[in-house]
Amino acid sequence: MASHHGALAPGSPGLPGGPGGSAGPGAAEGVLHLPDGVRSPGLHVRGLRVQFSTRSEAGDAVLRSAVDGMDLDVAAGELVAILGANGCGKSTTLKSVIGLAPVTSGEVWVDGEQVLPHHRTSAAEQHEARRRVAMIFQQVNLVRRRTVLDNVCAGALGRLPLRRSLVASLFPHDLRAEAMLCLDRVGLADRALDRVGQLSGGQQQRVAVARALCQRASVLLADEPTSALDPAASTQVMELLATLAHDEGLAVVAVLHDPELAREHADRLVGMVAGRERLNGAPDAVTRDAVEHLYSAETATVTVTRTTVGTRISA
Amino acid sequence: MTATAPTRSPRSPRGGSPARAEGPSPKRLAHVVVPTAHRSGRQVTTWVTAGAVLLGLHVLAWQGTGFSISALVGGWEGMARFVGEAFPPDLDWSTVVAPGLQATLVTLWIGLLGTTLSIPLSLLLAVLAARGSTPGSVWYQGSRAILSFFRAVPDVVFALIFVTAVGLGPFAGVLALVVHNTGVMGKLWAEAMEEIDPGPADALRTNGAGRAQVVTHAVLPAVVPQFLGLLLYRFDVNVRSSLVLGLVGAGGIGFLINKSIKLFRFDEMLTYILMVLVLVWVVDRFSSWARARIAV
Repeated sequence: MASHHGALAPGSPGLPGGPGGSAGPGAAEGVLHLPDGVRSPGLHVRGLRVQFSTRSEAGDAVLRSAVDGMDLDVAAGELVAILGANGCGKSTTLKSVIGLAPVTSGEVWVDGEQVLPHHRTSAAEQHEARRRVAMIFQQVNLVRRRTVLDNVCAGALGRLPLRRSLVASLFPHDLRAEAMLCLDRVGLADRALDRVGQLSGGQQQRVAVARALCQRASVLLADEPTSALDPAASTQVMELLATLAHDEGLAVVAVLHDPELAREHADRLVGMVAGRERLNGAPDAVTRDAVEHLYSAETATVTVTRTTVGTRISA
Repeated sequence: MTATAPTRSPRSPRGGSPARAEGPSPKRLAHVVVPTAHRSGRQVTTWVTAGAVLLGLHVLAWQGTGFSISALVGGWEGMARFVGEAFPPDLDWSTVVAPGLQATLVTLWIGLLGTTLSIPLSLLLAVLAARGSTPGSVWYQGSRAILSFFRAVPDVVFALIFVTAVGLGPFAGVLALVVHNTGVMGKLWAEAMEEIDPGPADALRTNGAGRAQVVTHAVLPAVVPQFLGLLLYRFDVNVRSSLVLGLVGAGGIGFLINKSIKLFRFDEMLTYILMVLVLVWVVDRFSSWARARIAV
């Protein structure tokens, strides 16, 4: 499945460019080390950098890098698990791809369309490309007081005109029918009219997946989707994510805390340390020691670049 | 420095329930060093200063309001005459009780309309004045300013203004309450919207939903219980406010109370006050009963 990713040497993330410059304007057209890489279906991230200013213990202003030149490739039909210690930047990577965290520099491509930086594309293209990326969260983030069906329909808000979507009763019949198919896909069609708050944690997470399907996303980002779930529900959710990748051709990235769960379900493991990729390979090719090392004390410390806060490099 | 491990309990053979029931021996306890929090000098100074300032403010307030125990004691005769004339309450049906009940109902109607008619504008201003849903800082500041103005001007002042516009009577009272309540309820609702978990709204935003869609599909559904609770609370407050509005000519039982005081008919006044008591009690019970239902 992930054979062409062998071309991505684990040590290469710094390659696309120095700080801020990323790959430069001309690089998008095949100058990169992966000629057609970013143009192929799925999610492609190049030189992603997320920096924020903070104060050191001495009181100086310092720039801290949450993500420090991250490359990530997730092909359509592939389930990639990101592993790493708390604070290594794995959640921030996902959040910045979808616009929930400000990006300092870097490029993001979705199904061959450039999403970041903003100035390279029109607003309409942005909107369309973003609509193809869905995210599911550890906290599920459904509206608990609404029905399961309404929550799934809400995935389609981005493509509906306001007059058909301002309130749930305006949703067209076709959308409700599509939402029912999505619910059936996650095995919860019989709970359509229950309130989300009445469902178990695992069921709620599957509703969130159904909402992502109803969004017709081709890239699914999952930020610790199983951290609040018991082992049985975790397995169920991971199996669902794996089938969506393998059977429906979604590009799925899941940030996970449990290396064993990742080994069991993912096609490829990506390990992050201090905002950078540290390991990348199929579960069989990655040793347990290598995974352990991601969480060891010496590698898990967050790097602090001591520079005075200057102008923010705009994305 | 001599702290032994205080958490390790004495081990006794077989389950150890007798020893456990008695707890550690006094001898053991005597050796445990319990850490005590030390207040720094700065903390003590802060507390003493705060206490002194508060005391000073109370002295100023005492003087500023002409607070005098002796005046209160010396004036007991006046109060006794007032109370004496109020008893027994005048319970004449046709001249006191029937008009009183009718006016009580009017007071209730003023409170009801004053609350419900302020919903549309309150909702609009609340959405504009909540950080998660406002279209921009100009809208945010503007709507906050309007809400502050409506809230800062007392409802009695609005009543006086509307009495000059539409004449004496309950209609002026309704208008006054609508305006003032919009200010208060709009702010309470905006704050309720700012306190909710932003996760569901973020989730919809990331899948391409627009601002209005996020408000109607994520923000408003989450705050429905708070909104209804605050609405009932304001209804409770507004019914009581409409009494005061009656005193300035905006109709209802407050108007009758004011009239009977001016005519020195304290026995009539007492009857009206008893009616008010019942009204306030009923509204309060209803409001808290309904709020308890919604909270579930």
